[in-house]
Amino acid sequence: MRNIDLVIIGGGAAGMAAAVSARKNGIEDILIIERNSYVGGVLSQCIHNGFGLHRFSEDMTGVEFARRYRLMVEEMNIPVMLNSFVIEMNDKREITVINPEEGLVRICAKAIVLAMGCRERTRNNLLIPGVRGAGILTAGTAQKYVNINGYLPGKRVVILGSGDIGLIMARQFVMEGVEVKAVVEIMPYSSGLPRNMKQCIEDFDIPVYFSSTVTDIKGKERVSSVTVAKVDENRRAIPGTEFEIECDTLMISAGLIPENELTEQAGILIAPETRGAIVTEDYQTSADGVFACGNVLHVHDLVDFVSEEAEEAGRCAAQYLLGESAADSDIIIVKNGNGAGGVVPQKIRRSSLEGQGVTLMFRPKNKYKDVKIVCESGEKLIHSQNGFALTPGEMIRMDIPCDKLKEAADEITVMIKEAENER
Amino acid sequence: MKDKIELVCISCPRGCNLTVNGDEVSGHYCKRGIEYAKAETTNPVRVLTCLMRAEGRQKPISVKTDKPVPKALLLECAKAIYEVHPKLPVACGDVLIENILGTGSNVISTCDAE
Repeated sequence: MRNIDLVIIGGGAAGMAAAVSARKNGIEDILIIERNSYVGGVLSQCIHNGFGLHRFSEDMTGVEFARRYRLMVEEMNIPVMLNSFVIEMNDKREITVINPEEGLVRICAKAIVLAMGCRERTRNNLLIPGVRGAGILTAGTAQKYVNINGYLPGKRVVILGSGDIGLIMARQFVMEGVEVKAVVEIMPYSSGLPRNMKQCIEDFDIPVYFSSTVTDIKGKERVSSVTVAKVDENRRAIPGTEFEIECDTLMISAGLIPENELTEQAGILIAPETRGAIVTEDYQTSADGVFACGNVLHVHDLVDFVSEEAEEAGRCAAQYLLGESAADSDIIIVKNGNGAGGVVPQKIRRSSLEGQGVTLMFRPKNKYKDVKIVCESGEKLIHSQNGFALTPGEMIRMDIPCDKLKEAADEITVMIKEAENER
Repeated sequence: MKDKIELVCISCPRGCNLTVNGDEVSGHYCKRGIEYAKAETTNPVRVLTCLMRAEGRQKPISVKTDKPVPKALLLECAKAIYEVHPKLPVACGDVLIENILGTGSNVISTCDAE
């Protein structure tokens, strides 16, 4: 059994940022475990720009953003174990890794940062009936085929779902000479960022069918068409509204699911709404010394916020290792109220309420205009901020100062309230 | 330009909803919104990111224009980029095409490739 102070599982945006931050905060013995043959995770296939505006005040591509962190990791000589897959983890921070050079490796870590990211919902998650021919794939897989491997998965594409990767791929397909026939979205609004609807879909006059879904896939060995139908308010297809779209590829961009099999295996508690670990304000999970950050904790919209969160988690893991963590104490439970979902962190330790405040992150459950975003403890107002145009596609971040939180009772609730006496 | 024009700012992922009324812009969070609205209603521009084939390398390399190019020229620029096959190695930031289609923008590499 190998002993290591800090093991980071996953070498994507979150893993690299956590490693860099832990080193800066005094941890020497760090190991990043990455299952791919390269670090960077999904960033390595994101050739489009729009990354880094918050973190580096620079408009970078995903590839450039990943490179920036890779260079930091290399400069700090932080070891990365590539082509390595963690197959087992327990709550004593013992893990089993498998890789082609060493076979099975057992590692015992003093602390672990979980940074495994997420994976895409597939056709099987969505239960779409129809044939099992070639030409059905997720947006991220299509992106990898095109940008990393260098070939096109089809010539006439229908996109199901309006997640950001799907929208980005729609534009790129157009650039590569592929015909994008339609985007079909089950909700009455886009689940992607407004700017991606504009610059990827509207710019190229791609037809979008809202409140619609794919009800059948036809074809023999290869997809030849899909059937699209309108849905009612319960997202069930309305009979009689079906129509066919001819295509050779159905690309699915219908959301992401944190990859928490290891987390669950270790018996760590998972929040049903985020499908990520339940964490305290220092990103520590229910297992002592195991931290989580990035998309494995909850799905983010922007890599900038992933890095920011991961740097904080890396710093907290370092504090834990150096014995500088806040002592165990009373806990404030953070709850989702009206219109809010998936709040992170779910717990705040009162002993941690020194210095900087706590950032709560959550998503609105609907579209809202000109509302107040409020944090209350019982009847008491803890914090409030304005929300001009909220959509479920954009995470809300609420920075609450410590002195405000100290006034809270055992429970606080985040919620969305229609603004009074305004407009 | 008499009528109000509604735009979504694409300068950053925030995606502000802008209203352009003649020379007046509202709904912007930062000054980039004003610049974007002015450009979008006169000469819309975009940064182009796409792939390029380097000589003797099967997998593509990623490139971008170092400044935005007119939106109307995006596809033509992409075609021009596909015609060029730079020699390896290529480093991030290397200029691979100067002043593409007379736009004043250079095409630069966004990756390191050997």
